[in-house]
Amino acid sequence: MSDTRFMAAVACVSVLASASLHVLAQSTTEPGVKPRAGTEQLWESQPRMNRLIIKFRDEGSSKTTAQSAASGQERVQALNRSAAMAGRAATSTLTYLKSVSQHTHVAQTSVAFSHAELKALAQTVALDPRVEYAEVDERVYPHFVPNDTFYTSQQGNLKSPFIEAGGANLPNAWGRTAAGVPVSGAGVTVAVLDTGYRPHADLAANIVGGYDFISQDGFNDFTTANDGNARDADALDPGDWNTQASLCDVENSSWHGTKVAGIIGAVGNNSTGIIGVAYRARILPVRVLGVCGGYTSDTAAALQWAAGLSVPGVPANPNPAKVINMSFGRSGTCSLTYQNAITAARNAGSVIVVSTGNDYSKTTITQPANCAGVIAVAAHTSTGAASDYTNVGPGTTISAPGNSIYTTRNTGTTVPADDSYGTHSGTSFSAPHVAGAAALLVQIKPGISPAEVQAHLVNSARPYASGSYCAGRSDCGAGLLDAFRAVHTLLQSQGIANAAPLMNALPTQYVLPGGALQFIASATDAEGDEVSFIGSGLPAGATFNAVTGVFTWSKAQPAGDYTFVIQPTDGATLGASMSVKISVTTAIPLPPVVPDVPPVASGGGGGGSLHWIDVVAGLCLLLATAWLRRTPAPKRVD
Amino acid sequence: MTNRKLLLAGVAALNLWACAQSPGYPNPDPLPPPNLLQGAALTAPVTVRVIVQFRQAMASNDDTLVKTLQGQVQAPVHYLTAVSADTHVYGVQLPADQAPTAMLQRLGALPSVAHAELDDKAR
Repeated sequence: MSDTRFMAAVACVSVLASASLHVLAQSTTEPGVKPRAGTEQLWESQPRMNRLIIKFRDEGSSKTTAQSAASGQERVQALNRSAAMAGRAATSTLTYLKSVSQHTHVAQTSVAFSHAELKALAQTVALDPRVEYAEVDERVYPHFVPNDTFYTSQQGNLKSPFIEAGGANLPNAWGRTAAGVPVSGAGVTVAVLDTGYRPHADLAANIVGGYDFISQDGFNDFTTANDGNARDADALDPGDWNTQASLCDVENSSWHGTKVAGIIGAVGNNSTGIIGVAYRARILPVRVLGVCGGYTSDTAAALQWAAGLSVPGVPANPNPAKVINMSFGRSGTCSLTYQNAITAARNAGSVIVVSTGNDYSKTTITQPANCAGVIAVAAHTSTGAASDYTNVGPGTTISAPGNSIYTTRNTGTTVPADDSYGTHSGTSFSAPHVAGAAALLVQIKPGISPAEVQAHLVNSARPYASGSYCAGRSDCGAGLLDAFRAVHTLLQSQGIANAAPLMNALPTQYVLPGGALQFIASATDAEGDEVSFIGSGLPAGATFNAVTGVFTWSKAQPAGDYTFVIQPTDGATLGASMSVKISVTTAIPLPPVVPDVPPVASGGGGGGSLHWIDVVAGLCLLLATAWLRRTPAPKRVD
Repeated sequence: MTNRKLLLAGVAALNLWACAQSPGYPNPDPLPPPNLLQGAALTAPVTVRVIVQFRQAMASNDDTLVKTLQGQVQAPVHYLTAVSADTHVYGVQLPADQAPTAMLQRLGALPSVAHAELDDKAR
């Protein structure tokens, strides 16, 4: 061998050794967690994955959970010895990670793959006759899921309509940003004209200095104020309990303002309690309601002050509110005093949100909800039907969740005691949803006018539940509040598009007549939105979960071919639909054989992760072999 | 006292009684009688809150203005609070069984007043 040839051979061996070491390094590195050196960019643009969901065929056993887990380990381990996996074992082995159900387990690969590579591996695994299906355990990108203690269990009113039909659809709205800040009401002041506030731990951080507008009832009479004085800078709620039946109903303190404020602006993502609709908004508490309610005059004065206008005898408001919530009212046509104040506040740029009342009326709403220039909010249930108690009628703008709304409150029956949470119903609690949503819009477009805010809320509203009283009735307003759609329409008007979610392909689903079929639809969304699914053409007896995408047909029959159409949506934009063919047949075709050596260009197939060095090494080996075969071995001449 | 003196006193008393029983001249005011506290001895007065919107901005606590309002409604009036520069709240003492309609009409009849309405409560 000449020196040149020898050096070439050494180089090839070196390359091969490097490749081997590289593979070894891959197999000994914690899979799927850290990127390999030199692949940082690739990692960032295309995340590596290492989990498969494998459903094994039911072999008729009935086992306990513990037995099932043990069985899962054995069954996953056995796959490494299967014929299908034989060609891959050197570069990638499967390890049992956890169980999803008795026959469905999650396996972890020994090396991390690209999505295409892992999908190819899933197809290989699915060739095993013991496996019903295998699929990539898709990584879900983080949309904003608040960590507040009661968010998951108690705040369905804020969730997407696919989870709760009447939900205000906040999660994907919170997932957007405005000037780099999460859409959360940040920087927006929302005035709560109510009974004042308690410095609840889940609220206090968002409270800014307010004012107590309750004046004396008569000369030196502070019955309504219940704090021994008239107007002052202390907006704390001393309690509004009443013991005099001659004044109004005898009742305990309501802590109404604290309840309303919590719905709008309870601190979010603080691992505590609840999250407010506009969880980073500033709450400006303005006290206008006391014992047996509050006066028109005090409300009108407070309304103007909250909007930044001057009121004689009251210091200027350092935090003018762009959104003002008023969850109260009384019968009658709009008083001139209310109307004057509302007109002035709206002209100053404030969005005014008012509850329609809880008198079961389907013809009239209370004042000031019936005044011109306000957003009048009725209430609906979790199913999207108008609440039975809600007033609707001419002047109603929109509806928002108003049944069993979980929010901040206080335990005191008279004077304040401890922070607590509780469930409450009424239009008083629907209006704050709209006020919070309005704050999100104001954050996105700080100079937005009240009319624009109203237009976005109204135009994005969803219809009432089909067949319910308010369905199709204009006197019930535009429909159900949808915060994400409102945010989306505003962003769209600013030229910010919303990517449609994309369905991940599903092969034809074969099942024996009378057999069980289950598959999971999945989709990806560029913004990381929570994606739900709209299914059509569901075979009789089958079910489809619009949130999880799980299709289940426990007894597939009769035989025949079916087409189930699935369309993904992020709640604002529909993605392209995908048809899933379902064949109920005794002639289930064998799955196609997946080649062991994956195409280099795609990086997919069954050979594990192909690095450039692997390719160079392979080419080197081929060239060296061919060259050595064609050239006779040189004779050494001494 | 002589008979003559008794007669004069009787005539004077009769005249006073007659004057008290009937007006000396026809009342040109088409509005209800102004003395809204008439009969107040029978029922204790209560404070009725009234919102008065003036045709222009007014000082929040102007004694002359309060006296003008008091003269108009013929009942005690005191200033309570402000709504805005041109709108203020007054407490008017009326008998508990007295409807406030007439009082509102009389306030509204003042040239400087644009509108007067009761300050009701909402909840």
